[in-house]
Amino acid sequence: MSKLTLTLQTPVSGRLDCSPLIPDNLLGKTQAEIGKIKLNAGSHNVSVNKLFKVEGSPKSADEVVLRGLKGQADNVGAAMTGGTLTVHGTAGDFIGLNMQGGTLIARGGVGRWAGRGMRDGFLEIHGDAGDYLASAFPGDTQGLRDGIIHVRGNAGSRIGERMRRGIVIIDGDAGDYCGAKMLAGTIIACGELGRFTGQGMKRGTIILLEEPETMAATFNDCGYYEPAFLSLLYRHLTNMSRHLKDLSDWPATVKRIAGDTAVGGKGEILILQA
Amino acid sequence: MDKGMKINGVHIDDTFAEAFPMKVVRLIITAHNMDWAYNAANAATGFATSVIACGCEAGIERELKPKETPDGRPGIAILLFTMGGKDMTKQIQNRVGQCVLTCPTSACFAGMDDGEKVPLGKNLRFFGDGWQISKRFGGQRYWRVPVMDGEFLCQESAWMNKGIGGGNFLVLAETQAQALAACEKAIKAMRKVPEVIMPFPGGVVRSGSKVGSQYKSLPASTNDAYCPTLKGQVKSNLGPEIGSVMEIVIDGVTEAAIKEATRVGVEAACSLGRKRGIHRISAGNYGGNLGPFHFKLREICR
Repeated sequence: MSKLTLTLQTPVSGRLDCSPLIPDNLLGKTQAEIGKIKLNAGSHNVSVNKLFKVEGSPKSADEVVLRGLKGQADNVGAAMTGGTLTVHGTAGDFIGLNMQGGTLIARGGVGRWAGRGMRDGFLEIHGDAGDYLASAFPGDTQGLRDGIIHVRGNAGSRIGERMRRGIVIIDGDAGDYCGAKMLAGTIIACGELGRFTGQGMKRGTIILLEEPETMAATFNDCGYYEPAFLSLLYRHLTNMSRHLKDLSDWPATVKRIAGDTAVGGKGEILILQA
Repeated sequence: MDKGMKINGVHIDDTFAEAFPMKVVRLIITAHNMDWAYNAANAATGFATSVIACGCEAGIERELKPKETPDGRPGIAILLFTMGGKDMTKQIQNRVGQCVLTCPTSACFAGMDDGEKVPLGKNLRFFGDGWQISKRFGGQRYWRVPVMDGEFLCQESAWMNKGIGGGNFLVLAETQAQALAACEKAIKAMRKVPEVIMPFPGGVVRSGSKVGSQYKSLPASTNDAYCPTLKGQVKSNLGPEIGSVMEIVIDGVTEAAIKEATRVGVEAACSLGRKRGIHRISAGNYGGNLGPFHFKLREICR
C-alpha cells in the first residue's frame, strides 16, 4: 500500500474546488502532470503545484491522501468511481458529490451537503458533518441514491432529506428534520435527534436507539416485533467498515412507528428496545 | 459374469450411470430454530422425487450453522433441479410461495452467488398487497413482506446454474432387509457430501424404470430385468442369489460432486459385505447414447 499525498501549503483566500483530486484522475499520471492540473479557486484557476506539495509515486500508489485542508476545500471526492481517498483536516461543502464508487474517508469534519447526488461507494466522516448530509439539493428530486455514509461524530439538520436509497449512519446526534421527505433507504441515528424526525417521509426506514420526545400526530404506533432484516443490515455494515460499532449486540426487538401518514405512511421509524 | 472388481467381496459391475444436464438452484431457508427450518425445507422439497411428474427434483443438501446463513439464524440449504429455466421459475415460485412463505418464522435466500438470475421474492412480494418493503444491501435486493407472525424476509432473486441429474447406482442383495440396510448406510454417508441430493424417499428408490411399456400412454415402466420376482419370466439381469434390488439416484451441482457421492455411497454399501448379503453393485443407463455424462463405477471406486 503506497500513498500519493497532496499537502495544501499555500493559504487560499476563497473556496477551492477540489473535484479533480480524485484517485480516478491522479493515479497513473506523473507528478509533473498532476502539478499542472488546474483547480478553480473562485475567481481564478490555480495549478496544483502552486498550492500543494505532491509526494509519493502516482504510478504505484493505490490511495490518494489530501492533507492540510482548512474547510474551504469543496467537492472533495466528486464523481469518484473507485479507489481510496483520505482527507485530513476539515473538508468543505459537497464532499462525495455525485460519488459513484470507492472509499472516501474524511479524518476530520466536513461542511454541508455531504454526499449530494451520491450513487454508490462508501463515505466515512470521522468528525462532524454539517447540514443537509445525503439530502437533495434545491432542484434535485432525490438525495442519496445509493451507497453508505457513516458519520462518527454529530450531524446537522435535514439529514437524508428526500434520500432514495442507501444507508446513512450517524454515531452521534443530529438536528431537526432527520429523514424528512425520505423516499426510501435507511438512516441509523445512534444519538439524540432534534424535532420533526421523518416529517413527510413516503417510504424508508429510520432506526433509532431512543424514542424521540415528540412525534408528529401523523405517525402511528405499529407495536413491537423482531425484524429479520436487521441482522442482514448489521452484517452488511460490519463488513463495510471496521469503525462501525459492533451491531450484533443490538437488541432484536423494535417498536415500529409507521408514517408519515400525511403522505401515504409507508415509511417507518424503528426504535430499538434495550 | 466376469470376475473383475470386488470391494469387501461385493462385485462391482463394469458399467456406468448415465446422467443428463439439468438446471440447479440452491436456496437457503432459515428460521427461528432448526426444527422450523426443517419444517419449511421438508415441505419445499416434498413431492420432488422425479421431474417426470413432480416438475422438479429437490432435496436437502445440508444444515447450515447460524454463522453460515445471511441472517445469522439456523438454516438449511436445499437444491432444486429442473430440465429448464421456465420450469425452475415456476417451481421456485410455487414451492417457496406455498411451503416457505407459509412456514412460521422462515426466511429465504439465494444459495449461490452467480449464474443466471431467477425470480425468488420478486413475485412473492405481491403477497404483501402493497405493504411489502424493499431493502437493498450490498447490491442485493430483499423483500420484507408483512405476514401474520411478523415479517417474511426473502431475497429478490436466486441464481441458476448448470447441474447434472440422474447419477445412480444399484445395490443387489439377497433379501429386501439386506438391500435396505446397505442403502441406509450409503445414504447416511452420502448426505455428508456437499453439492448433491438424493431426491427419492429416504434417498432410495425401489422402482427403477426402463424406457417404454406395453401400454401406449405409459412412456416408462418397471425395470423388469432387475425385478427379482420376474427372474423366471423375462430376460433377467439377476442371478439366483439376488432377491432384492434398490437404487440410489444422485443429482449434483458438478460432475465431481456426483462422482464423490457415488464413491462414498458404494463404499458404504459394500462395507456390509458379501457376508451380510450384498452381492453386486450396478448402475442404470440407456446404452450411453442419451445422456452426455457417464459415471463409470469401476473408475470411480478404484
